[in-house]
Amino acid sequence: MLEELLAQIQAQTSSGMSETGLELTKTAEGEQSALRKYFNLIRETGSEAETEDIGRKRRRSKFRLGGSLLGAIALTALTGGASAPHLAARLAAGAGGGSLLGSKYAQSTQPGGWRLKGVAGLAPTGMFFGAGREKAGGEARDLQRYLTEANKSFDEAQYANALTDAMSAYKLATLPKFGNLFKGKIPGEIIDDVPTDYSTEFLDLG
Amino acid sequence: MNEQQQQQLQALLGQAGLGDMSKYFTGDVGSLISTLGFTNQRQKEQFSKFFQGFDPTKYLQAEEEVGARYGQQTSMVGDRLSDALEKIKSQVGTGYESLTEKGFQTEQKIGEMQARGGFDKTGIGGKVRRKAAIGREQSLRDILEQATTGTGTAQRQYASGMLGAEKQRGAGMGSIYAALQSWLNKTLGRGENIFALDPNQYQYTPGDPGGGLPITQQDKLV
Repeated sequence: MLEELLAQIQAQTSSGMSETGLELTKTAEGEQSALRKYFNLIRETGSEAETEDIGRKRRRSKFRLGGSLLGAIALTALTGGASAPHLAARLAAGAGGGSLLGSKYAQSTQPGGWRLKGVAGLAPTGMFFGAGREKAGGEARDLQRYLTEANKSFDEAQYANALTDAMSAYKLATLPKFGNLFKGKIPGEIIDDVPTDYSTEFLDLG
Repeated sequence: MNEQQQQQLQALLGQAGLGDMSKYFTGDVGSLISTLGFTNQRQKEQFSKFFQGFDPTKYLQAEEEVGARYGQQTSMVGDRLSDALEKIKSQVGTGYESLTEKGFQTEQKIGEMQARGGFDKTGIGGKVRRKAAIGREQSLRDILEQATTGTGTAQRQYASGMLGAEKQRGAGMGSIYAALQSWLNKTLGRGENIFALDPNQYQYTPGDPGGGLPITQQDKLV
């Protein structure tokens, strides 16, 4: 019967198209959701990395300060005390070395590792949302570049910091009133180590 | 789809005004996807599950059914006309025979009366003959009029029957054309839906979020 055949055609087309349509919607929604989650993951990873970066720097600063102070004191004490010659240089070397060691220690004992972690897991793949995926890829690569640079600069900064600390220590040690800071605190008479003209200057100021 | 089906389908699509769209009416989903504009091999593989190949079998069966039904209806209408004309012919024949018989009987009676004598002198015989002739003529006219009316009615019924058969054929074919159009609309609509979802053309590798440089393993370890 014609009516029966027409109904069969309609049923076949409609049901087939509905089924494949459902499959399409399901696939597209799934991909969109996965892509959205991936964008969120990139953002969250970026925020977490920023926070971790601040945290590791703060922690390193503490160890660096402690290291440079201990280094300066220890090296000065081990190399003849405050009365020995070239105090400024020895202080600078101790502070620089101590700073580097402190930083290295802070870096090596950083809970969970000192390196900032990239995006965990793989990016979702799929057949749709080409522009969205390119954007996600761009953001992920941007984040990776940021993390790589942040890790690199964090790692390199400890040497620059050590040098800065050494220079600061040297400058501090060569300040005219510097000898007074250690008077009676470090074995040996610091005042004796201060050049004569400075002693005169102290006397004038005194 | 065999060669004959292909030809029948082409003819059907031509009648439906979809001759230019015949490229979409294929059972090969891969070819259909290419025609829709998805030329990438990966896309062909991925999107094939969202399409249905066209199966002309039922459409062609339906077309045959429409043709067969039209044939039956026109045949029935023709038979009905033949029967009606035959009946009229028979009625005219019977009426004419009856009139001839009545005329013969009238002539016989007049002959008998004349034989008994005296009938002709009064001129009654001639009068009766003329009256009988007038009566026969009238009856014959009535018979022919009835036959004409009957023929007209039969012809009108035939024309009406043919019109009904044509209407039914048109409705049947219209339904088939609508079904073809519906299939085409749905298929093209599906293509539109997929294009709207911004389909990728890239071959994906794990870890690549799409396009451009993939995230390297080294990046991940950072």
